[in-house]
Amino acid sequence: MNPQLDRRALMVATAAAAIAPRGVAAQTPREILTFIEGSDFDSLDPAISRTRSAEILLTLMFQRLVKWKGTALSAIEGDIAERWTTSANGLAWTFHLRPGQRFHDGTNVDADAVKANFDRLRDVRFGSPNRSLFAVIADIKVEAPLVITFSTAEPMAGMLEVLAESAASINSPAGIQRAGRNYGRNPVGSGPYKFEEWTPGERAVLVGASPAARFRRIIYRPVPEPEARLIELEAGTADIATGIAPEAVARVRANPRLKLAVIPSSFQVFFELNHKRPPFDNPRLCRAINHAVDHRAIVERILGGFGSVPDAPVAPGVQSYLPQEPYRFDPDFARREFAAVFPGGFNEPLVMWTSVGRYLKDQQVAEAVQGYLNAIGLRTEFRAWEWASYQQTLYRRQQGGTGYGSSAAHMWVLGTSIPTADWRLSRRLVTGQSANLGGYSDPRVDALLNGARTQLDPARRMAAYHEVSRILWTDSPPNLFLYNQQQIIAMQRGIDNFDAFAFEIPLLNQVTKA
Amino acid sequence: MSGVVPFLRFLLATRRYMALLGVAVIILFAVAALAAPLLFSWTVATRVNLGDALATPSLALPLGADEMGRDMVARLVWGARTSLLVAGLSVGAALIAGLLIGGLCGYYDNRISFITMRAMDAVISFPRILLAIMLITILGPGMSSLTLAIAISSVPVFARLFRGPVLSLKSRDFVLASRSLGAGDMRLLFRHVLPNIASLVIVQGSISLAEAVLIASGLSFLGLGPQPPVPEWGAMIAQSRSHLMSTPHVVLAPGIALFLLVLSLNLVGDGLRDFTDPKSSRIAPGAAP
Repeated sequence: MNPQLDRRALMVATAAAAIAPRGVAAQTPREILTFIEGSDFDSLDPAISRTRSAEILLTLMFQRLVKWKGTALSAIEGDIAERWTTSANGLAWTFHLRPGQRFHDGTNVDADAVKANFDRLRDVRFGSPNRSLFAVIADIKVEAPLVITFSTAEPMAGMLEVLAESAASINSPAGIQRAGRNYGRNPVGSGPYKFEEWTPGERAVLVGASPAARFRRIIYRPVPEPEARLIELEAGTADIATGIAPEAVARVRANPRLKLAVIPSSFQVFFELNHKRPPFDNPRLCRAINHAVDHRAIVERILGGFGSVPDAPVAPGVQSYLPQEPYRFDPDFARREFAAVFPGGFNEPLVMWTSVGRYLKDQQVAEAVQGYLNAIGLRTEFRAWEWASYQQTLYRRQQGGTGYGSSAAHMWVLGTSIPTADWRLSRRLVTGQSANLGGYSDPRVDALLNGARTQLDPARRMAAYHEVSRILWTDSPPNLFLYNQQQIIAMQRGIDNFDAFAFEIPLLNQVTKA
Repeated sequence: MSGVVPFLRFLLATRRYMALLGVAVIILFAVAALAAPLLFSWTVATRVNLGDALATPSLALPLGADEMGRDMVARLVWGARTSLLVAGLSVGAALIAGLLIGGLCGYYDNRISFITMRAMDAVISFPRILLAIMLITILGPGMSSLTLAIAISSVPVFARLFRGPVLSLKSRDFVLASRSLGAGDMRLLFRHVLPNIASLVIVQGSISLAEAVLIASGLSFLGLGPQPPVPEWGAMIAQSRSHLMSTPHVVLAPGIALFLLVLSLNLVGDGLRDFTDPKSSRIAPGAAP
């Protein structure tokens, strides 16, 4: 065979393949929904997973006892449970399960299965990172095959919210037994979709398992580059892409085959400060540093206006949100405060860490902050991390990691989207808590947060959270607040009914595809 | 230095104008890199000024400003300094190490040199960029670890290249003559053998320089190079690449600078090879012999 001819034929074929399948021809079929996001996930075991991207799939594969009704986060409805009652003293919660439900492996969804799940979560030896959420549950009793009672030592105001968390998803005990250590890659739930495959870094596939499933398949693919995600949409190889770069928005709007959704987010991004070593062991300087940064310029110039200037220690839409006066940009004030505390100047370089591409423009914002800190005369040492090793280092307890204030860094970029006040604030701020990476400790905050957890009167509970909010904002800030994020999501024009929780979980099963 | 004028003359005589252009570009970049602190202060190159973010080219900012509102020209000039410093130091270090290893292993052909060279082969079997990434993962990102990683990954190339000629040179008559006059090993190696591969060193050095610049910016692109706010071309491209469609100048400027420098180094490398190669006719290409 003539190799010359062969090569030419190949080239023609390649060119044809590159040009031809644009538009409708390349679109994924109607019964398959392809969703792309920036990050892969750690595990599909709800008890273990710490990543939000996994939650998108967990929501489709699993049921919980109860779930949020709609995305407004104002009401909770039954999921596995059809109804529930609370004892007069507020210490016992009894759930009646809907009959006839089965896990994808055919076993029954009953009270025993529910109990097994919560026993596993609360087991110290199992070591779930979400264990402290459920630590308040003192005892679980199976009353009847479909009736289960949770009791707590103290009244637990946020009980239903905790049970609606994705960590509280109900797994098939038989599935857990069978897969053993590999359960994180072979999850078995009872939701509308069944797990089919997950190739880390490549894709995860769910298949419809009940009449409630709108799609035959939902495909999740991690595509780290924002630009690449947009190109996939333009080429028609994906239906929905999240995390569109602000500078690409105009391009999406100009494309007649695509449309854009901008949805508020409960994500607030901040530099968490290390409160165990100077200078941020001094609340005065934690306040000062918030004045050194021009939040407005960051939101307008770097985020292209797709975000907002923080006006509270949590984003709007988070329980406990109480708008306050945003920090005014006053670098001279910040400089004076540092000079007052360190008359000879603070001579150590401030070590600042950032993730890259995890939050909207995180590295760019961190670099801008570095510029602002240099401008008030602080020396800085910068390090940009890849997410997996960043997260590992942050949660490592010994020296070198940030390990609860034992850190090698003075400040590190993080964000959180948790919408419920107790879980969002307590784990990061109460002395000694598992996610209190900065070693923050304020007895007033401890007392208020611990008190609110057992306060059944909603008004008084909220008052406590507002008081915490004031302390965290004006008196003893735990973070250098940066910005509140917005979700910029692009999709094919034929996609309708798209909605997402403020904590950036899209509801993929309610989407329709023309 | 004494070879520069004959080299330029050779390029002119043989009408290798592209190589001449390469020389000019390299000189331009080298001068800019050396004079960077005189042209633009470090503050100008690193100060964040969001008011000017993504400014388009103007009189005050001839190449516009990047995402942080920093003057692109200042960033490019300081970036040239970073690139040339990293490339120069790493190639210099690799060259010396390569010469020593290649020279000694060629001169003493024994079991140790055999093992050393097989070790070099083992290192060479890793893709260079992968090896460099591995080293930086261990050392932590930064300018010095970047330099070291590139140096280490280049050593085997030099060692292998230099060993061959040494092997053949050491049995040549002039070396044997010198030995019969009582010259010791070290004198033979450093006075008689190594000077004879000088042209090889120069040619390979210039080509490796181009490669080092490219690898350095590639690693910086991946975030493994000098950390912000140090200007580095690869990192500048990485940071601004999402603006390619909206404000292309912030991506194209460092890209073109990188392209020009690497191309020039390669052109000069080619010119040097022809210049030092006794087999190449020193007549203009295309002219009748």
